[in-house]
Parts: sequence; C-alpha cells; structure tokens
Amino acid sequence: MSDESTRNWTRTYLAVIAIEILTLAGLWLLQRHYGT
Amino acid sequence: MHLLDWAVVAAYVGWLIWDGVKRTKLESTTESYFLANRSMPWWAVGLSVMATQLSAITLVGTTGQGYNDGLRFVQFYYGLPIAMIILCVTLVPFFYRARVYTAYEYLERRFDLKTRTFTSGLFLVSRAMSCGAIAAAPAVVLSVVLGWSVTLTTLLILVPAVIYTMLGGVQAVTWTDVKTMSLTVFALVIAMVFLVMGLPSGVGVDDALTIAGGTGRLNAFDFRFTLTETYTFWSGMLGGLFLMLSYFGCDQSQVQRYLTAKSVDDGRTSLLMSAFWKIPLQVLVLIVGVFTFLFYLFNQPPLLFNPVHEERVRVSAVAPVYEGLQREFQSTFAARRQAAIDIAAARHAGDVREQARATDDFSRQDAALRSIRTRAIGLVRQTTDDASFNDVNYVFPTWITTALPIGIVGLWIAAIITAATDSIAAELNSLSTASVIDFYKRLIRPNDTDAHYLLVSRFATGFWGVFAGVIAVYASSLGPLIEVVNRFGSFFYGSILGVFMLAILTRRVTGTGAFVGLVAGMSSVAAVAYFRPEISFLWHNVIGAVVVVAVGLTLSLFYTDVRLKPDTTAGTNLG
Repeated sequence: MSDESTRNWTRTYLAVIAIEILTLAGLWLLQRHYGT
Repeated sequence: MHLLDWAVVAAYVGWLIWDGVKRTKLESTTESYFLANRSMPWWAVGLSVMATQLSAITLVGTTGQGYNDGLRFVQFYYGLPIAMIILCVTLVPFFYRARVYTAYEYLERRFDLKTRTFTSGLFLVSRAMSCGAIAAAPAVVLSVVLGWSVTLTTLLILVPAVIYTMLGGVQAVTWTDVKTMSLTVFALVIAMVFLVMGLPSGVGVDDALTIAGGTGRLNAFDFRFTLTETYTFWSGMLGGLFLMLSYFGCDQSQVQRYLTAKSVDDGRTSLLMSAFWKIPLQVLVLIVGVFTFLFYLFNQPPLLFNPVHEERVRVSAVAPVYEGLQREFQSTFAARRQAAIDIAAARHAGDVREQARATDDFSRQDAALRSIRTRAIGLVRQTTDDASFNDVNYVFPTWITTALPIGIVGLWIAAIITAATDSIAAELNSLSTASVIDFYKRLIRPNDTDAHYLLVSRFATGFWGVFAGVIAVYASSLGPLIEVVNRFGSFFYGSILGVFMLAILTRRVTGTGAFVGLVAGMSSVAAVAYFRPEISFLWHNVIGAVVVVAVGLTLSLFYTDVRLKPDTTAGTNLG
C-alpha cells in the first residue's frame, strides 16, 4: 500500500466542482421550465 | 407475493450469505478482517461507500418523499461534493500515514487517550442506535406489506448481515455492497421504465413533468435562509457540508470503507465516486417518487397506503367519518384525474387559456386531496395512538407489490432487504472494529495474540447485531423514518468533527483543550435542541463543530502547559 500520493489532484477536484455546477444547473433549468 | 418473487428473494439473499461465508478462509488476521489487508480496488471501495449510505430508508423513505414533496430533499446533498474534496485534501492522507484501524486511534496520537476513548464511545452509542433504526425502518414497512410480524422482518434483515459480517469481515461487506449497489441502480431504472410506461395514452413524459411541476414537485431549490427549514439550498450547502464532513471523515462506518483501499490515491478516488454520483443518484430516487405520484394521479390509489392502519380505523368508532372521507376522496380523485388529462389535451392543442383553466382546477383538486389524506392520517393517529404515523413510507412498497410484474416484485423486495442488510453489515463491522481496537485491545487486554483478537472481533460483530435487533423494536416509534437516523447522529457529529478540525488545523491545542471543547460542543447542541427545537438538526452539526473549535482554541491560549507530541504527529497536521 502506498501512503503517499503519486498524482496531482487539482484537475480532479476542479472536475468534481464542474460536475456539481452542471448538475445543479440542470436541476435549476428543470425547475425553471416545469416548476412553480 | 408470488412464489417466483420469493424464489428471487431467497436466491439473492442466499447468494450473499454463501459469498460471505466463502470469504471466511481469507480472514486469518485482524488486519484482513477489519481492513482487507488494505488491498481493495478503488471502484469496489467507492461502491461500498455509496451502498453504506443507500440503505432501505433511501429506497422506501426517499421515494415517499419524492411522492409527497418532489425533489426538494436533494438539497440535503448539495454540500457533499465539496465535503469530499476537503476530506481528500485533509483527513484521508492523515489516516493513511498514521496507518490506523479507527479514526479515533489517530486522536490518541494527536491528543490523548481520553479524547480517543470518548469519541469512539460516542461513535459506538450513536452508531449502534442508528443501526437499530436502519433495521427498524424497512422491517416495519415490510411487515405491513408482507403481512409478517415486525420481529420476523427484523430477523430477515439482520440475520444475513450478522452471518456474513461475522464470518467474512470487511471483504464480505465490501463485495456484498458492490452486488447490492448494482442491483439497486438496476431496480431503480426498471422502476422508472415501468412508471413511464404506466402513463395513460395521450399523456407523454413532457405532459407528466408539466403536471408534476405545477404541484411544485420539480422544485430543487429553495433559497430562503432560515434555520428552521431542513431542506433549503443554504442548509444543504452549509449544514449539509458539516454533516458530510463529519460522516465521511469522522464516522468509523465510512472511514473504515476507504481505509481498505490499496493506496491513499485509491482511497481518494473511492470517496470522489460519491462526489460525482451521489446527487444524480438521489435525483433518480426522488424522480421515481415523483413518477409514482404521477402513476397514482391516473390510477386510483387507496386513501391510506398502510392497510393495517386502515383496517384499524375501519373497525373503530370513527369508521363512519372515514367512510365519508373515502367517498370524498374518490370523487376528488376523479376530478383531479380529469383536470390532469385536460392539461395534457390543452398542451397538445396549443390552447393556452384552456391549459391555464385546467391547471387552476388541478391545483384546487390536488390541495383538496391532500386535505382529505391529512384528515385520514389524523384519524389513524387518533385511533391507534401512533402520533408519528407517516403514510408516505408505504406508498412505494404498495406500488411495487401491486403494479410491477411477477419476478420484478421479487427483485425489488430483494433490493430493499439487502440495501438494509448491507448498511447494517458495514455498521456492525465498524462497531466491532471500534469496540475491539479502541476498547478491548487498548484498555482491557492489550497483549494477546492476533488470533484471540480475531475471535473477539467476530463475537463483537454478533453482539452488536443482537443489540441492533433490540433497538430496532423501539426505533420504529420515534418519527418519520428518514429523519430518525440523522437525528441520532446530529447530537454528536458536529462536535466530533470539531475535535478532528482541532487535531489537523493546529498544533497548539492540548488533549484537555480538545476534550473540554468536545463536551462544550455537545452541551451546546443539547441546549439548542432543548431550548430552540424549531432549529433544524442540520444546523446542529455547524453549531457543534464551531463551539468545539472556539473553546479548544480559547483554552489553548490560557493553558501554559501546551504539550506537543511531535514524535507521533509530525507531518500530520496543517499548522
């Protein structure tokens, strides 16, 4: 088992944030289009 | 249920137990029993992390919430991806470097024995209680749906979990999680297909979404900033963030999952799987609930979904009142159904005025139906003394057993049973780890053989299984199922998170400072819960963590015997 990280995680973390923003944007559009 | 459905359930549960028992021979040391020799692939660990949270409560209670309230519950998870990133940067590498079995073991190295013992003890109490609640939730629902006693359905859920966890340890737990997670997602997709196919002719998916949206069921954002509402954007982003940090970073039932990963990178990747998939998965579960609402918009539902309670009302003194409500319900249902069909027809014809009229009519009838159901539930509470009765938990199981074809019903019942079994198995495994590593081996019998600790670990797993069974019987009367589990944890979670924050953010705080801070944090949460019960439990996590950090840091300014432990914590904190 390796206790030390062997890769750069910054891009992965940015991808997580980007996916969350896209998911929330999708939900927001669903609410805007169909919601009250 | 048809014989074929029972065969599906028996085959699946039997397979899980057989696979768990098969792994017994792999578990010859405590490290393999508790941590799979830190050798699990990231994707299996990631699915295990997700499966541990996706209990039967999610399948039964959350679909019910989707039916009743729509998507707004998803706001609870908005802070989760950010929490996962913070944990990947902070606690995950700390735990790996420290090579601990439990999260609390790290606290002794950083602070002292009493802080470790107290936090581990809090985990044991809260997790053992919630383990009972996780068993009780589906046991109560299944007992009504299947017509069995609660004791029998509790055993149906607990016995497989205890057997394969006792024998197969964390490997059995993880690989069972992988299977059940796959089955659950498959079952949700199948349910969605049947629900869409169940829409009447002339009503398309777009029409259905318009109708559901008109009732507010597609609203996934509430931007009001209020401490009394649990499901708002801000409570999810802030309160939810603290809850997820605490749950995934300081709760042994989750920490143990990613400690089994091959490397610190695999541990991080497994956690980030939840960051990517948790919100979409939760939306899928809630959308299934919304489409169940649409199904019962066009197909006559019972006034009450719980047949046992309905029968008790029918033979009580208020039976004439209930029959009156039933007649009112049927006529209002027919009027609402017609209004929904009128909305779809007006949309297709492009008649905006007719659509607006039909929408107004629909909203009026929908409100009237809600009022009738509320009155019916009031009659149940009045006649059965079950003040917490919540019919919403019976909606989806009723749909499963009455609307799905033979075989798929069995698949779904298997998914519900094993979703509960899996969550409980993961918790039993972590309860056993904390009790053996943090108490038995540390305080009671420190110098025995590994074979002895392995035997005690299996025994501890069985003990916690029995304990959960006893709690399950009482937990069923504590309130809406979905909130019972979260309430247990919220009294401790934020405060324990505060201790870990002190541990990694600063080297100035002493063990005594952290311990006093922990007690102060828990006392503050208890005081808020008692004097301001209207404040949502999600904010308890924020309050607990902030008080612990503030008190811990303040005390460290006045203590002159600031004691560092550089030999064991060097390189394991940030400041």
